[in-house]
Amino acid sequence: MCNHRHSYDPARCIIPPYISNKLAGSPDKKIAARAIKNAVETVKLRAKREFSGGLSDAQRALLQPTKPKSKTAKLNMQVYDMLHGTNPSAAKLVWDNGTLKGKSDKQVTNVIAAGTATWDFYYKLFGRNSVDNKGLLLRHFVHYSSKYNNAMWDGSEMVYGDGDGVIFGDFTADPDIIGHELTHGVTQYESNLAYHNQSGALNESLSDVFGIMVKQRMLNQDVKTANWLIGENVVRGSKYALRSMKAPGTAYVNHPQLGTDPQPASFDKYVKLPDTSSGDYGGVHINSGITNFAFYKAAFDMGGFAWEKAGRVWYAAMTDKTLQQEASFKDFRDLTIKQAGKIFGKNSLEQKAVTAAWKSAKV
Amino acid sequence: MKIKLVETGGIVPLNKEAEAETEWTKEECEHLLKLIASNTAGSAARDAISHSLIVNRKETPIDLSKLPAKYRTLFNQLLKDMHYMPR
Repeated sequence: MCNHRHSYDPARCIIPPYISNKLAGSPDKKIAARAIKNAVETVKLRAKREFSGGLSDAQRALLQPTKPKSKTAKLNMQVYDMLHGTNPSAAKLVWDNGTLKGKSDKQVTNVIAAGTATWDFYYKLFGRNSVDNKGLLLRHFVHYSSKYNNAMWDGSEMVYGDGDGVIFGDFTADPDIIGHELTHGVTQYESNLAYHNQSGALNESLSDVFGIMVKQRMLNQDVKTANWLIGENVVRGSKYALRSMKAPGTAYVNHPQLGTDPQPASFDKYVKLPDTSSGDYGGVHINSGITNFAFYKAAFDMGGFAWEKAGRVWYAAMTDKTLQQEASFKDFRDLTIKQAGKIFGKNSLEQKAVTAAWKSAKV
Repeated sequence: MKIKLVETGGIVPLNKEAEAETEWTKEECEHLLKLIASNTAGSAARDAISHSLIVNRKETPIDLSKLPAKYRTLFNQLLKDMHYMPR
């Protein structure tokens, strides 16, 4: 690797790209994996260099993560096994703040890993201690019901189904889904965006935005190496996912049961649906594609890791006290542009990137 | 009387439905709908799945956990028979 945390090893960067490419296609999986990893690190380093070169010292200092509010804050989390039932009071505690209390399995370890990564993401980057910023106990319930095709935030806890094994797999399989559900908690304790129409789509989009960043941080992916897919392991079949932030409307195409992803990428294609459950409360999971795309564009154009710049802007807007429960896309656009100016400076490259991103989404 | 059970919502906004022919009278149907009607107003749940029953084109949100025992077999069958309705 070229870019170590504490060192720089030029010897490992000397291999020319045509050889790296050849190695990446090697039938020896170990060689191929190493070559791909090297290529990824090289791209990251180059992007970082290109960007940092144009920054002042003051701007570079802004890239440092916000200091945590308290040195004593720590993760407070439990994982329960629903044993395929639906009554949480009958669930079995299997993991309690680092101590295994019962039988662990893939679902339990997935939730521990992504739940911890989500807490860490919010705390290390934004100084936020849990969803309420007061250290709320995070309770995850796995194996909910039988073949349950969903994951949800019930207002105080997270619930995950195993999927039917036909169309959907295990709903703990993607860290972005776990980050998505926990972010519903953050939104609830902040602006509490109303769950319908544009404010509801913003609510959904914020969950996707922070969920994808949790996954990218876990996998050490920058904006260029990430695939920007939500739930890529949840929908069975390698060509399907739940949503694509990079190309809304393409997460699943001509799926035999699900049809085609209905998400638009721009406001001129906003889908008007009734504010009812069958209308997805005005298309909250559908029109979120528009604001998802705006985030993707902003993050991609700024380069590096999504959470370093675009993530900071979106977090500042999400927690801005002026964000109203019934906020529109335009309201949120204005807040992100304002926050980008506050964080990176008026007319900064970052503020321009945020403005351009919203233009791309036609908001 | 023809009834349609509809399942909506979830982290993927998909709609599923299934139909059945019943022997219910109008009174029995009204009584049942009163018993199982759900009230999700003000709920903080997100990405939740919900159900509703459509009878004579009228849709009533319902809570399946409130279902009396004598209707469970019918509703379990409806849940089994559900198929996706692509948008």
